[in-house]
Amino acid sequence: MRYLINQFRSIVAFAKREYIIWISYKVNILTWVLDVFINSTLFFMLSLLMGKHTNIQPYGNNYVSFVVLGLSAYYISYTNLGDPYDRVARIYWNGTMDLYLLSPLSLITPIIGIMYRSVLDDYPRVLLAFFFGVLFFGARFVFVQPLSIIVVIILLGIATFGIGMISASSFFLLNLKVGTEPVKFIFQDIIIALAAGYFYPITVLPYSLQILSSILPHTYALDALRRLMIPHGNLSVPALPLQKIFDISPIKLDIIVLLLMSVVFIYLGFFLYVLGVERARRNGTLTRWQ
Amino acid sequence: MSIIELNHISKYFGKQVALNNVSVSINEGEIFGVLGKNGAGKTTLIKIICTLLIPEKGEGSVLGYDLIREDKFIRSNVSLVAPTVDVGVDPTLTVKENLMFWAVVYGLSGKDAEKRVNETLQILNLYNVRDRWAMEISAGMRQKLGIGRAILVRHPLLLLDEPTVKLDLESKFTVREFIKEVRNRFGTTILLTTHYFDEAEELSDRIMIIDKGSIVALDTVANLKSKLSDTEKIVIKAKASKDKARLILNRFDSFSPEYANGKFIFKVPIFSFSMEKILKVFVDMDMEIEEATDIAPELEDIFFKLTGGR
Amino acid sequence: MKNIKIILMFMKLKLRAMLLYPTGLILDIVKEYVNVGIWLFVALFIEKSSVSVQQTLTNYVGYVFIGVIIFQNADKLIKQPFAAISKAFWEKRLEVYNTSPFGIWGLVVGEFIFAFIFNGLIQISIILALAHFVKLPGVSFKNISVFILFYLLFIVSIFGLSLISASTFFTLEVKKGREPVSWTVGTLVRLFSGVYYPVTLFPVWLRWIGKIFPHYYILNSSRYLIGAGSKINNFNIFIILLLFALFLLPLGIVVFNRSMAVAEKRSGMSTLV
Repeated sequence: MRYLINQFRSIVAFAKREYIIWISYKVNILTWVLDVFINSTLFFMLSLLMGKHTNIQPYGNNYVSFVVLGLSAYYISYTNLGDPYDRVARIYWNGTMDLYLLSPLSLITPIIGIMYRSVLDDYPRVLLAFFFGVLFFGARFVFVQPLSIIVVIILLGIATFGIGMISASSFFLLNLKVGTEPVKFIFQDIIIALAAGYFYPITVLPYSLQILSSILPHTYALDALRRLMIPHGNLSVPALPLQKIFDISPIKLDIIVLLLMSVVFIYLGFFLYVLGVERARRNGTLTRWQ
Repeated sequence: MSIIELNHISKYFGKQVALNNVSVSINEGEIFGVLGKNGAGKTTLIKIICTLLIPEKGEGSVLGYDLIREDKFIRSNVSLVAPTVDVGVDPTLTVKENLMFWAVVYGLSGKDAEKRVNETLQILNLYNVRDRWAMEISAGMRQKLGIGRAILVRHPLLLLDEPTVKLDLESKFTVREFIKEVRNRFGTTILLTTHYFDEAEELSDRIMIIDKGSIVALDTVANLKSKLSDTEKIVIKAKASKDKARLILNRFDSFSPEYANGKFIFKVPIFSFSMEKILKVFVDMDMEIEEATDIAPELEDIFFKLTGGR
Repeated sequence: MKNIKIILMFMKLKLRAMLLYPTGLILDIVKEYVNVGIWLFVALFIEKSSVSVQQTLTNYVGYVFIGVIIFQNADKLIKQPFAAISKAFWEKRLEVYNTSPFGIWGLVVGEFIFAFIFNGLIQISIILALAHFVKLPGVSFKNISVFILFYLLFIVSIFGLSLISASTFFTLEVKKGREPVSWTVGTLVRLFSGVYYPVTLFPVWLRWIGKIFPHYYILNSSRYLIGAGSKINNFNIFIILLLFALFLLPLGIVVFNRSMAVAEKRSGMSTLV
């Protein structure tokens, strides 16, 4: 218990430190807000182009709402999936890996703690996207089954963090210390970018890409959130390949799959990371200090 | 009592031998110096002791914990200062904020953390600059801050890997004095690696000389000097006529005397011969002595004698 | 001649650096394809689900395809000199380059030309790979020649803009990360110059914003010349793009030279203080 309390206190200490650093980059805060506004504006313009008679069933008919939810998933994923590798790299290259290892911290605590800066950067963008969308661009939302919505968001966060830890494990496991990290690249920059359905429903994709999207937590999270939060979203018509196979409610299926993915990815991520650290201890590549 | 016991530790990186059959025992409260060239195995040794590296062969214990099976306990009770200044020092935080952060990381909290940080700042003599940005203080102060971070929780073992490298002379002096104070005040056992002979000699109770992964010498400085060097030099600067000079050289023939450029050089048995005997002869012969120096063998000489090259 | 050799040398260095990490190079090329792919799917979705788009734009996917290709390429090129200077600065090479009269210019021009060629080849490969998918009709040789002329004028303008962008490294001391000039140009172009949608979506009084950038004219002319847009007056476009080039290039050169002079006074070329 005391161990867990110490880990939590350390994460808070990291968070405070990262906040101080984050707030010192004042220009970044401005561009951060503008970025969200500009992305929202861009998709609002596309929705104007589409006009009033759009059909994005089973996700209602409000394209701006559709995209706001896509952007929200993007921002969460960008941090949870993309950051762990970068944080491990940062700890390694600035020499503090040794110091954290020689402390009561678990292997994961520094990563979570330092990620706080990205959390500060990206999570509030979700709120901003909603704010701009509703205030300026005609996005509308309902909150059918709020508990399901919360569960979906939490599971999306956990599952993407699990993938992020798998990505981070390659730093030591595969000794990938320089250049582009392939797990993050393949998942985030290719598969998720194309097939997660941030800006379009996956039904637009060729069937092979739709199958590929079935391995992404984003697919299920966005499916559930869009059905539950966009007005006139349909809760029963199957849209995803897996929903067409199993005869249960699409929302329930989404949550079950997200839960399974969360458990599998988190376990795999942590396991591979610890394995990577042990391997690095053996072959002398754990720390930059030589 | 032994804080560190290593028995037949070997470590290889591919075909390269980093450590070869190293056995050493380090006592509680000792400042133990490790001297060696680049690539001799000093850092590998420290990494194995703090369990950031796993040896291929051998066994050992640190603070009573098994080196391989109880590595987590060792890591929780050992502090490290790496050679680069500013590691663990955040430039965007003040001096005090830096230590407060690490206090929490090391498991201190609330008032305990505050109290310990203030104490440490006082010991470090950094209390007056506690609210300044870490990057505004000198490199020597930042290195002290690094060591201060390492002693926040008063771990019984402190590992210092070249703690004064890249520091200017004044900072080196400050840090060396501080290292001594840490041991004296807290009884901390300190293992220190260094390139600097004077630093090793000044700080260490015992020195281990390591070369190509093997121990070539391990003893106190005085013993190393007496075992490995049997003579010391006495240099006397005095004006002498040719006749008087010849008389003196004949008188101390057994000490391989030399005379050149107004200086007499004698090689006498180390630690066992008094300069006064020679000076008395000069005085008796009415010779004006300008300077008299006793040059003890240098650790540097012993090091190069053992490891070869200069 | 000596300066050309310096430029070629920097291009060669860039190529060697790229080839040192072949995996990274492949991944970068794949990313370009993916970025275009994302927008194609967005366009496909919009075209399929919107009656008004089907009625007003005969080939919306082709429309977006051309917009994305040209915008992405231009955006990368604008950022290139700044990125090159920033990298050289942090790797402590910049002040060494400055010891030669043409050193920094060689770096900037060499990296820009290299990026133009490299990115250009990637974009051509994307066009060839996806032309059928986006249903671009066959193009005539005459149109291709005109397009190349317009595009080269456009690139000259972009070079001018990239120099203005790079100058902020010294004048505004923006040493890393997002640079304000390229960010502003990129943002305004994306929103107002017709990259993803026609500017007719905006009220009349807002449409002028897009027209102050050369991107607007090259996008319109490209769409027409490659067969996915409305008719244009080639001569007018030529004059406009020529004027942009004649204005932005000298401006960029002057601004960049001035910024280097400022940096030399402030010792802004060196990481050592």
